[in-house]
Amino acid sequence: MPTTMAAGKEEILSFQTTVERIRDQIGREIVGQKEVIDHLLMALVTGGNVLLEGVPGLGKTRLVKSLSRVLNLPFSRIQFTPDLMPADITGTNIIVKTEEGNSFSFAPGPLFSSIVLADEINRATPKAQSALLEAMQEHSVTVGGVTRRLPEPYFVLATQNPIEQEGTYPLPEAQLDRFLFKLLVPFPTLEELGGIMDMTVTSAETEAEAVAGGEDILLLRSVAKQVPVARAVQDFALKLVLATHPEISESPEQSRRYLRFGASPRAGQAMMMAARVRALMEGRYNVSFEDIRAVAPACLRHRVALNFEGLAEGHTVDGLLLTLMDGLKT
Amino acid sequence: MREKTHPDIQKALRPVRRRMRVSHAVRCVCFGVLIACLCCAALAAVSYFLPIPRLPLWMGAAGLALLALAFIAGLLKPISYERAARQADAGGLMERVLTALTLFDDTPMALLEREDAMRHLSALPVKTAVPLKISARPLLAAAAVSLLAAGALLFVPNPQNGVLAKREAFQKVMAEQAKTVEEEADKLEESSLTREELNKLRKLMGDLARDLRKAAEPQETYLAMDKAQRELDDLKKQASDKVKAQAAQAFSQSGLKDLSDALSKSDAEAASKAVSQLAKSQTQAQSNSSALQSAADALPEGALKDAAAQTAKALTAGNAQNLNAALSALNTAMAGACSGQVPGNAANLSNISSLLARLRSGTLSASQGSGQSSGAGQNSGSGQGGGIVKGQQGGAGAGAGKGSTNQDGGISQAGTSTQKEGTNPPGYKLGQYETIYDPTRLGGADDNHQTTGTLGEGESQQVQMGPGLGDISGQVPYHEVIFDYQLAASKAAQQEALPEGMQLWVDGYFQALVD
Repeated sequence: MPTTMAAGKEEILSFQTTVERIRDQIGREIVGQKEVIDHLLMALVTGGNVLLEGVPGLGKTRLVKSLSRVLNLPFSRIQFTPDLMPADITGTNIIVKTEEGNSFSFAPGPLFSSIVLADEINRATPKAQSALLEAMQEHSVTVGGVTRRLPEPYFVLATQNPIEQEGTYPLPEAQLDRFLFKLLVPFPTLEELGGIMDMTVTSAETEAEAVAGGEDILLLRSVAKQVPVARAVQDFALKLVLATHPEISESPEQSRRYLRFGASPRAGQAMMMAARVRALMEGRYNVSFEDIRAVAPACLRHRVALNFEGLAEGHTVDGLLLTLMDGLKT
Repeated sequence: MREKTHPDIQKALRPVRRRMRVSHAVRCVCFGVLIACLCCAALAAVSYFLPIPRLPLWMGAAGLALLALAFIAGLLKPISYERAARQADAGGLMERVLTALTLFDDTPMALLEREDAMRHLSALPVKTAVPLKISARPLLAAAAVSLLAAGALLFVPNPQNGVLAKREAFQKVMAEQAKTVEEEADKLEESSLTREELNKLRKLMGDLARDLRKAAEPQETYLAMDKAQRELDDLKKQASDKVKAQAAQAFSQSGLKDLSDALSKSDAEAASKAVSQLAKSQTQAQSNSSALQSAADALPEGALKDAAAQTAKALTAGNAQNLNAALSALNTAMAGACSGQVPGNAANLSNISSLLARLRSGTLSASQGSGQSSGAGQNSGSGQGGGIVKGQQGGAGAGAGKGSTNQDGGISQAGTSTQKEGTNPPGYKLGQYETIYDPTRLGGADDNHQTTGTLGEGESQQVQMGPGLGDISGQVPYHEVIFDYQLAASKAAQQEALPEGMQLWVDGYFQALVD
């Protein structure tokens, strides 16, 4: 049974309305993408980071910008290229001329922002990619032996293009594991495309307003941590994590046959945190099996890999995860 | 380890648990229907190998009992609060109740969650959340099994039906006989028996009537009658011993020591000698007469008392012819008393002996009833089938009492038909089973006469009869055939699985006929 710190009833009751307001404002600038927006909000409230995968032109950058505007949080964008150096993103010490003479001064890099968009992260070298690791995990940056805290809330949203794989550096599993979610941005439907046209190429374009701030997000985070979870629901999430491991003899046939490796305990943590936020967003004060099922694909798809047989037979990770969830007894 | 559950949520879950119990009971009843049908089908299958009376009643009882058991078992199955919470949550409550069930915090979040769960639980339509589902599969299987069993019962002939019919007919006869026994028991008089003896006799007859009603097979009836016969013999012996002792005492007190000693030793020869001594001496005739009269006054009612009184009078009168007759009667009475003959005044015991003999005849007739009425082989076959029936029913009046079946009168020693002892109307014609054995047709073209019938459980025997013994109508002189019948009956009784008492009775019966 979870132990919780007392949080005011008013804060709890206002959670859903706050999130609704944020969602509505984002909806003024972004057409469709409801599930992506919801997951982004979940990740933001949870304190996790998101990896977005989608073809160019789907509005990923616009989405992040809208988010920063609605939350009135500073936003920075890093375009990852193969020649990007770690200092380019973390910042570096530079020599400045002062009255006393020349001295080093730290010039912060684009990481020093509340919301960071790491565009096409798979195009940068592993060295540059790893510069993000400390920031994503610890919310701090160490340059020249000096560790500097990053502002809270801190949210990294990385993107990658699923179609242009030439000259890219796939993210290592260790780095992938640090993303709370991996979201697949779907191509808009006809209606959504019409809405996008109406919004962006006419004079009817609207701009989102700031309706919340960083403190609100931190408050929402503290409320979310108090949501109780039934033992059976938690066991369901953990059994799902275990089921993704092919080396465990009790895991299902599909896992043992088609998976190369399974999710880490961090996946379980991610699911529990995200499920709590989702429950509150749905107007409930408890986590349900449905919440786990809703967040599981985003939490697990980047933490689990298919083997050659799975790839050869045309299986997908999402498909296998659905099969595993259906096979688990609630 | 079972987690502790919140009492408020427990209370709110009670309607759900109740409904789940009923739902479970309904599912159990569906399976109970299948089990009941299988059980009934098994009973039906067994009924083809064992005779089961009132089969539909047994099937119904077994089916209802199994259904009731299934329902009760379903109701009694424990339903945990966790299971009830899951069932409630499955009705769209999204694990609210399951979470609240084990949430004991008093934080604002926990309180909100509990209130939310209680609110949704109270608004939950329990009947919709826990529907009473009827499991179709077991019912379909039950229907299939029932159809198969019904088809088998309807279209496959049951060999046990004949056995059951025979048994039912037999039991009907036994019930009538039991009623006869009870009527006789009601007629018992105290005249010559003590209260204790009368009670024993009534108990004997009551037990016999009960055993007759319970008997399903002739074997059981014979055993019951054997038992009654033994008890009756004991009673007779007690009565005769009592009379003998009384008589011995009476003679002793009257000074007729020889007579008294002879009775005490049950020595008929000594008794005869003592009787002959009574009239030897003229001088002692008067004293002997007085002694005899005195003894007669003390003797219980019966042949001995009468004979003693008659002899006393004859001694006094001095008429030689009368005296010889009286002495002869006294001799006979003394011989009877020595041999343990039932005193004439013990009419009850004699009546019951006759009744038992009639019951045996009736039982034998009942056990042969189906063969007699329908089997051509039996009725016209040679051997004991026709003979025993005829012998029992025709000669029963002389030896073993009146026949219990109102059928053919049989053949007397003179070769003429005896009077029918039944109550058939005057124009009654002999039926097939009453056909009298016709030895003049032995070896003829009619195979029926050579066919051996089946008599109940035994096999019949063919008795060789000399040619020309019967007349053209098939009537055979009784005395010509009785010895062969006696032999055949004795052999058959030894082959049948009859109790020893019954075998002796058969031998004794035919011996009485021959005598």
